[in-house]
Amino acid sequence: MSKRILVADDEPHVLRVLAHSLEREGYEVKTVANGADAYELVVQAAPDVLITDISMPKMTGQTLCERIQEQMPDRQFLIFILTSRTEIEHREWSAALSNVKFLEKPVSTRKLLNQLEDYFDLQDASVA
Amino acid sequence: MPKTTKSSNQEKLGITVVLASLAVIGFILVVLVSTQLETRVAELRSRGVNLVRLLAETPYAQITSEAPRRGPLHLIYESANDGQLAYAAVTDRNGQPQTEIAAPGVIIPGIQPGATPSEWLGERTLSIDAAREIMEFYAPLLVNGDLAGHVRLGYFKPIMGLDRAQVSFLATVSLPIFLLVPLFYFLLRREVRPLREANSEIQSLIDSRALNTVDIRASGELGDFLARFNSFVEFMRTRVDTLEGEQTRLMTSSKLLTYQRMRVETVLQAFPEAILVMDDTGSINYANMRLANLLGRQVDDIVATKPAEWCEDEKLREYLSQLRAKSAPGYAGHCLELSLPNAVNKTIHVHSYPLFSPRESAEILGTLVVFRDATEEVLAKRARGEFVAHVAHELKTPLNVLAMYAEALQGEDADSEDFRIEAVNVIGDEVARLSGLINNLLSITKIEMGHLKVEKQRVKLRELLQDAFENVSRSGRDAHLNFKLELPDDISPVSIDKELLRISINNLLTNAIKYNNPNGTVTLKAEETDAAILVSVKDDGIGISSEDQKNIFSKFYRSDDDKVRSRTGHGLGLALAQDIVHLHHGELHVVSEPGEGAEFTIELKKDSGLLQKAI
Repeated sequence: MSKRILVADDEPHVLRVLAHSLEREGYEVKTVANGADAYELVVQAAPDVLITDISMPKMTGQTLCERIQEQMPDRQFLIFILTSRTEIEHREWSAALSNVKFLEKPVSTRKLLNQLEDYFDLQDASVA
Repeated sequence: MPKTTKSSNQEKLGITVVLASLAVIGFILVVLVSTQLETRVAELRSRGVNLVRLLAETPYAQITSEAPRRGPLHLIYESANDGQLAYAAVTDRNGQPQTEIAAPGVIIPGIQPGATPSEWLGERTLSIDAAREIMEFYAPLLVNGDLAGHVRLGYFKPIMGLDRAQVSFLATVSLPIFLLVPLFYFLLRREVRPLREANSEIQSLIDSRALNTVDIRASGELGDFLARFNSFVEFMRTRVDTLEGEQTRLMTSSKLLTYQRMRVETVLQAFPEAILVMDDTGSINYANMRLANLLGRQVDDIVATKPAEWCEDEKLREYLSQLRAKSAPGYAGHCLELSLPNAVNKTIHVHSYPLFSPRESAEILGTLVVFRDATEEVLAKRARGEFVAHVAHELKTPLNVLAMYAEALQGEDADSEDFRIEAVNVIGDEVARLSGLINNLLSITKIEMGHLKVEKQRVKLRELLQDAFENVSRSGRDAHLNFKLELPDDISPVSIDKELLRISINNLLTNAIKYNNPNGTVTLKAEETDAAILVSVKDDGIGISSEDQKNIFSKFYRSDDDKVRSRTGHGLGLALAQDIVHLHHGELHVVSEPGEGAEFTIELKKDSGLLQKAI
């Protein structure tokens, strides 16, 4: 069963190229353009990985992550924060959350794919 | 002291002396009379005893015979013509009278003869009435050794009183007393006169509050006293002169200090910052009006108090108390940032500076505390930080897209022609976006830094608008939009910066294309009125909500609307357009409803210098 990845970013080109690359690697990908839609999808069915930007309309990536942490304290899925906002305060609040990785834009798609692969390998090994 | 009181005292002294002399005389009289009485009693007793003994020697028959001649009792009675003898009597052994003679009105009392011989001779005192007493002397009359009777002599007992014979003596004694007492009095007065004069002069000095010496000649102890008194007055006069000189100097210094203090306070009041001065004990010596207003208190509530008495802000209270604890120099530069309840929207920076003694540089007299309104500075700093963060974000966003597509094209995705075409288009769009962002950013920065020089020139606005319209409509042809240009045949030439205004109009036209609906219309229109020239760009696209209309001219603002977010943008186009219009003293307005399109209008007022010069 393929891993489900939810990508939230308000840049359509980023969504397009990320979805293309992830799907080619065999992942089941859903994309949304704002934080509110992302939260709704996470509540409906938790993905295996959430990749999210910070600056998004309707609900920022920070609010999305903090709300997920609050409502789903036992969540198992990994959150990748993929953003060009590199101010120290963003690194601080993301570091305070568990099971979160911070990636700075411009990001290498290959690097992201490798980190996802490593993560899922580790997950599978621990289950086995 | 009033003179009446002085004379009254002198009269009292005189009366006292007279009374004293009278008392002395009275005492002498009492002593004399008393002595005289005792003497007379003693004389009477001696006479009575002797006489009664003498009579007791007389034969009983003889003493009791009455005829033919008068007996011894009558002889004695008659010879005693001094009135002292009250009676003379002879009684028998049974007490019965045998012969007797008595002064008129005197009743001879009876006698009970004693049983033993020792009781036959004696003396007794008898009362004959309320005023008089009788001293009776009695002796036995013996016949052949036996008691035959008693002879009795009764004398009036002398009473207290002045003997006339003594009057001359008393007069002799009293006269010198009467004469000597006033003499002593006047001598005394003469002796105490210098003292009285000195007292009077000292009193005058006290009354007149003058420090003069006393000019009275006196000898002895009084002379010594007056000399010392005059020395003391001289010393006090010198001392007072010194003190008066010191007082004058102090008053001059005080006035000078007051003047200098007022000057300093005037400077401190005019100081643009709020000021507080604390002494080395932590008490507040001075606070200017700005501080009082900042804290929402009266100056009097703050001065001469400790911060703990009025300071409600815990951070400030702790900061000020720590200043008090500092005893060594070098704590200047400590800065406290706070917001006060009375100025919640302000950021206050509190700095402290030690006040060193002008004489001893290591000695700290107190602390100067300056409350500086750093709101603008903090906001500017924050705005700078946010601006840089926005710029970095807006630059990284297209760079990220470029990097991702470039990486994809290096991989297997390059084999797909569709992907290659898509990548080329996206890369082109993102490069254009980057270029537009950088250009807008540079223009805005120049305008805001004041480095942009407005190159005014006489411009035919119609030609400028036609040129801009053609360029934009050409590039937007692929968007399947309709373009309309509505210009009057004649528009007054204007004096504007042609290139800057072209940027502004281009940004409005670019937005009208970007946020339009498929097959929508973009209209560029110009209109000239008496007051202004109006240039408007209208689309019938997604429209702008009233909430967004409040913010669309702010730098980097982008709506949360998905329809807006689905279009690429960096939030600088409208901000730059407005800045350029403002440089021409114009206004940029927007009229829009969500889903109904938007119309942006540049209003160039004819009464502005820039425009009128060209007309």
